[in-house]
Amino acid sequence: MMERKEKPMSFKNFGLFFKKTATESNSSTINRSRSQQNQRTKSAETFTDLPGLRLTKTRAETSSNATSPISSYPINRSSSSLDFGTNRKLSSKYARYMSQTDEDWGLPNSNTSFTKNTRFNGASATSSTNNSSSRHHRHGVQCATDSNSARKYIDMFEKNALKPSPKSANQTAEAEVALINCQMSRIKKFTRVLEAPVVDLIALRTLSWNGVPPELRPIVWKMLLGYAPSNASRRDSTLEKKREDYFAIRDTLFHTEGEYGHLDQALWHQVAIDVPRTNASIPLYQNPATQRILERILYIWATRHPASGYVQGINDLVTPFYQVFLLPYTQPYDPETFDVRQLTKRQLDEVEADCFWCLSKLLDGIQDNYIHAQPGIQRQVMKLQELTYRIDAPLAKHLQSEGVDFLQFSFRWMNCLLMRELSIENIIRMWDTYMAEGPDGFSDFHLYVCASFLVKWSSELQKMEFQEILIFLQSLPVASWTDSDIELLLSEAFLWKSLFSGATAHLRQS
Amino acid sequence: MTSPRRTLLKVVILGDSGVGKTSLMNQFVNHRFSREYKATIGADFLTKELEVDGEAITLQLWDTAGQERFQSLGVAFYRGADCCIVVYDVNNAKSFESVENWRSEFLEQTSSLNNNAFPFVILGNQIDKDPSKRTVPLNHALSYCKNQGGNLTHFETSAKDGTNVSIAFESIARSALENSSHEDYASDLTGSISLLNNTNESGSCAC
Repeated sequence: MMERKEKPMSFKNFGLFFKKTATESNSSTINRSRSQQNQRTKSAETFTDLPGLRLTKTRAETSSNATSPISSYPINRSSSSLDFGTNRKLSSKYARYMSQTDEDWGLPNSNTSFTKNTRFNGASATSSTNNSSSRHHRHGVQCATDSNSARKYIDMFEKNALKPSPKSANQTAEAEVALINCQMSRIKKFTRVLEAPVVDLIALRTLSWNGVPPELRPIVWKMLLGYAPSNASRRDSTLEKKREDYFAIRDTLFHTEGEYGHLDQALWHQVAIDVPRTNASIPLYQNPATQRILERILYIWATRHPASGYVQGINDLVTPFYQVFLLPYTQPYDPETFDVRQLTKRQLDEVEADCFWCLSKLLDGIQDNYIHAQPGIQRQVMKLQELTYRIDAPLAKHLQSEGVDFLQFSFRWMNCLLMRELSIENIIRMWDTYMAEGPDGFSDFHLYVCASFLVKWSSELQKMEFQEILIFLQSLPVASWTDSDIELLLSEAFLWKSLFSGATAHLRQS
Repeated sequence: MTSPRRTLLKVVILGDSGVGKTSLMNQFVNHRFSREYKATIGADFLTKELEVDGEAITLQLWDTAGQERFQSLGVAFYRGADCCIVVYDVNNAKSFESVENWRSEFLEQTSSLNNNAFPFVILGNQIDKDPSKRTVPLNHALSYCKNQGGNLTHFETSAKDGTNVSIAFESIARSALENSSHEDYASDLTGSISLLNNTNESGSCAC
């Protein structure tokens, strides 16, 4: 009995120990490389308060023997959001840290690199990136590439960095320049992988685990899901064929707009009442063009998967694809208020077909979640409970003593992959990692993400009673969550997974 | 007892997808109507404190998902309920036909000892819509409730404009309260331990 009680504690301590040593070794590495680089940055800083960093390093430590490709890129972290406004202090540390690692990896100085006090010449920066973008297109990668992003960064820079700031304008500018450089070099890394005649999927996964630059997401997601072939010579033709396949199915079912009498009425009714309820507060989803697209995708998917059919929640799962695949057309506007009718029919058709196939690929991995009695979800909820006992026994016991059934709050976490809990931006970032994790990303890895997500609120939850617990878990305070919160969550999930995956001892419940 | 204790009552709301379960709950709890509710997944939990016949009660409301696929979840949410609400849409005959399915499914999953006594409140929602669209006449619903013979109460409501919502939920609270006090009474009866104590006492007396 005693032994059982102490086990989770010792694991906690073990985690803390790693955190500590990781932080120490981390900052020492940084300091060493700093001196090698002629003190490029003057002040020696510790990074102990940088979220994600400690755990990321911990992750590397714990999985150093694992074959996971991720372990070899432990500190390649990047925030894909360019929100300079929030948490300047953090972003400056982040940026300096990132600029260090790029150097550490011996990356060549790029001609698009911005340095401190450089007055931007938008034209030259754009022209230099145009090269890479045209190379990109030669290989048939269809997405908005570097030129767009470079433009965006320049705009961002001019808007933010050149604005006089009362406190140490130089420092902030320096940090932001570094951040831009880091973003650019990250895009370059991706572009280099994507340009290969046969894309190295392992390298792509490794890079993507830490987040995909928004501009490259459409093609990266399609490749990670196995929809777009890694072989460049076959990519266009394959995508073309898949799209035509979809159009053929679509045309047999939806030949006349507004005529639905010939469809399976029970299924159609369910789809037709759920689509208007999908993100009803966001204009993009109130757009009739969007609603027709979602209806067709969901209906067609359901008819092709009779064992599960359409299950509520699948409607949510299309939306990240829809927003990501629209992005090349919506930029620089906010996709949520964008009128999709501005796109040509062909463009919208392609987005629709791509969403359909990618949704199909995603759901292939979690079919058990939606078949009769939803055994996949039942199993996941059970495992979540077991994991919680292992990771945070006091919390698990508290929930039990308050009579909270895990099914009562985490069923939705599994059924909608946390889409009801987190913002769509958070989810999109999370899916970068899920897809990079491989076929189990949306099932197995998601479980560990849910566990990290639950224990995050441990101290709050342990002060609450039954009613409060359920109400709190239904509206968690995550509205302000950014990419770095998500990245911390993912790192924690990775840690728990490397500790517990395949270990069956936690299945033995006391 | 000096401080009045709140009675906790558990209520489950069932019915086909899209009939307005979530809207009814929110009209009752927050006096608000919105078109922006997402489809409920699993079940949502709400509470409402009110007073019925001088007794302070807290209703714990479980707003369940309407899609059939989620029915396997039932037990996790139905267990220990004091009252069950079944909602249909007066403009959707199919949703009315499902009422009996929901009722029997609930009774089956909770395996209540006295099915006829368990209180159900049947709500015909969306009466704010154009009367020409109505497919379930009021007398139709009333005769169903009468013929079932169980403990069924019926109301027609509009979650949109609030018609009958508070009246219906007051009745729900009262039914739940009655049911829970019956249960308390029943558990008092089954407390045969007191008999045992008596025997012991009498035994000691005999000595």
